[in-house]
Amino acid sequence: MTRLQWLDYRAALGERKTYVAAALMIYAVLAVPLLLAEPPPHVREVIAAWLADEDPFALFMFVWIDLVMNKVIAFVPVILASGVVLRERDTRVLGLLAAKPLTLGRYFVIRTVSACAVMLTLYAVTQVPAVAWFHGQIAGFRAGTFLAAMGLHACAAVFATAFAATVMVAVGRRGAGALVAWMLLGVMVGLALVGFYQPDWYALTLANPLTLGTLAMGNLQQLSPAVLLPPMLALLAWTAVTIAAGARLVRKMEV
Amino acid sequence: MVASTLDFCGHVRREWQFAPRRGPLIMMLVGIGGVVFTHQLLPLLPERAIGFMRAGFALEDMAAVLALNDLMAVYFPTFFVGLAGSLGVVLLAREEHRLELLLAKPVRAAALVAARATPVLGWTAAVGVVSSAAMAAAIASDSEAGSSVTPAGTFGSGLFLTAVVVVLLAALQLVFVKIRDPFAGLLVACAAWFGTSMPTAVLLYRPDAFARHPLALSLVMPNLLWHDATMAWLGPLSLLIALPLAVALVLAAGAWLERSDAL
Amino acid sequence: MSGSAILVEALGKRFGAMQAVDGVSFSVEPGEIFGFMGHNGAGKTTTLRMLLGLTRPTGGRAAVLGHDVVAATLEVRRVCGYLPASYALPPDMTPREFLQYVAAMFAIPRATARARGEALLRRFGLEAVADRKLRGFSTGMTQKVGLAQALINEPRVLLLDEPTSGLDPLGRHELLEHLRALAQQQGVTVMFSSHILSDVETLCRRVAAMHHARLIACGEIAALKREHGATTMDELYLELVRRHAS
Repeated sequence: MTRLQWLDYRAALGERKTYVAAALMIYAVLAVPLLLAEPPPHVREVIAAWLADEDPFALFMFVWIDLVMNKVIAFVPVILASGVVLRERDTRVLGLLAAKPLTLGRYFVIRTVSACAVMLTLYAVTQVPAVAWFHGQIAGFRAGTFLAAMGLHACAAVFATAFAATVMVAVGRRGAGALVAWMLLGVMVGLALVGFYQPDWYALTLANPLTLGTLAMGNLQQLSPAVLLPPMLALLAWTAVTIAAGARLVRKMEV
Repeated sequence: MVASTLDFCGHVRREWQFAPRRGPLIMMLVGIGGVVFTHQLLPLLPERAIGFMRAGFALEDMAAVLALNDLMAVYFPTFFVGLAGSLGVVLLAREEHRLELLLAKPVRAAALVAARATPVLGWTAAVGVVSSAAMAAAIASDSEAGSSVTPAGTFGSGLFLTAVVVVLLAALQLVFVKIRDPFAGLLVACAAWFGTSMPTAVLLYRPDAFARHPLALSLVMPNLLWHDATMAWLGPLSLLIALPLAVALVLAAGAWLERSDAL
Repeated sequence: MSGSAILVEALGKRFGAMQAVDGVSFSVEPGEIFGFMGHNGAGKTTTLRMLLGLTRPTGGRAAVLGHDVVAATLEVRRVCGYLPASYALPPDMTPREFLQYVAAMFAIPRATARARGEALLRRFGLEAVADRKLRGFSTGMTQKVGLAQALINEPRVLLLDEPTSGLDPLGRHELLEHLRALAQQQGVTVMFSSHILSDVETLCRRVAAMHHARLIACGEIAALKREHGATTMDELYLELVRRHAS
């Protein structure tokens, strides 16, 4: 199965939409330093208060995660994962593949894991080179902290991809499924940072998987495995449960 | 006996009859729900968060802050319900080998694309109008939040955004007829949506950029709220203009499909 | 009958109020090319799909190479090759990539998969287009890649649903030759479903005929022709249908 997983990942990686998604993310990497060249005082003050951190790097991380990467994980996962099984069914490729010695549930798992791996690859090819670019552009930029924070955020992106795939098969139709996945991810992204704005709700917001992906922001000064690992593990568990649910749902699909 | 051919209105009537209704109706409820949610949630946020939005977007009072968030509740569902439908006009139909069946009938590609797109755009506009009405009603019922925006002005702002969405989706059909992969189409559409939201983000983090280009302020979403009285008449007018313009754009998209070897 | 490659006993499938397959029984011997004929909607595709476990029977039972099609679906699929009547190939893959992809679904070791893939590309004359995207392939080329993917696991049973429809005369001739060679040289059992009766006659010794969800005849073509006083396949089929109707 490892070889099938590898071939599927490579096929997914070679699709045009992956390159377009990478181009969008690279554009964001290039554009954000321009956006943050002169933040107005009220923005600096408020974000410093929310994160309890006056370092300009904290302001950068807030904008990078809130304005850019949280938007990315509301949209790109839907595009990467919404073709899983449904596209093969609608284009009649599934008629061939379903006759192979592989259950539909297993096939869904392989396709979804590939989509998640493509999402991780997109993170790797955009965030790692971004370090070099941001280093010269952002005052007080800390490469290690940035990569650690984005490592956690990548786990949220992987969850979002699995979630989009599962929502799609639950809805059963591509257009409507993409719309529902966007809406649900949009709501999760919209509420992801509410715990920073209203500390009274912080504990409640931890039920939102996409909030878990942003938790590094509150601990940028002492980011450690103890801070990162619990949300990472929680996100991996969310992802596994979501994929399992999708695999169960897809069994009911008529090929 | 030779089958008679339909005129364009006949094609539109047929497509309208078979257009899916459930999605748009659900999204109308989502739009209304989004407005209600905004009006319930925002007053519970600390003054600092509200102050951040007021200072960042040059809004006079809480009513304007609520209206700005309401506009997102109009813009997001309206655009994405329209996009989901728009993908079916050419892109998904082509991928699922339905387009060639349809185009083999006695109908010009331009008329077919426009006829298939018109109900989608119509329902998109309906979602926008209903969400805008919900927004106006919410502003009217929340009179203590301030007077910088009026129900008529916010309704107009919502209609203006709806008009933008309708024209944007129609323009995207020009791109969709040239794209084979529906997901590439989705990405292009998302990029376009982000493109329209970018000036507002720039206003928050780089207001100095507008000092050199004051005309660019007309591209930011709070601009709709800064000109409340104007929006009360400009919003409905822009939607009235947008609808025929959108039909012209989808006709052009169909004509382009006809000329290209896009099947 | 325990040595049958395919054994079908009173197999039935009901979709709501519609009986798609009704109490069908027949058997296919190993290495045989077995014709399965009938009009569109007669129940041929549903029967083939039940043999692969893609559709669950509502009555009767069936086994492929001794594997029950319900209890051991994956075992059945492991030994079968299948070409559906209506399908598409992934547009963004090349024939070479697609064959490797399908081979991986059978967990065929990489070197073996590569060798088999190359051999199939050669066999079907696809070497020149092996690295071209499948998008835009002609019907004939698509059918060749479709058949190649059905053979990548060196199946002992091949289930083909209307494989010649849409092919030009040359393509049809080539395909029938390939199938004959598979049966004769490699002992592959072929179940050949078609409503093109001349193809069935060219290829098969025995046939089963379906009509309105029921099996109306099963046996050697020559014997059936004699029994029903028919000289051509068309006459035979029409006679069978007429008798069934009366």
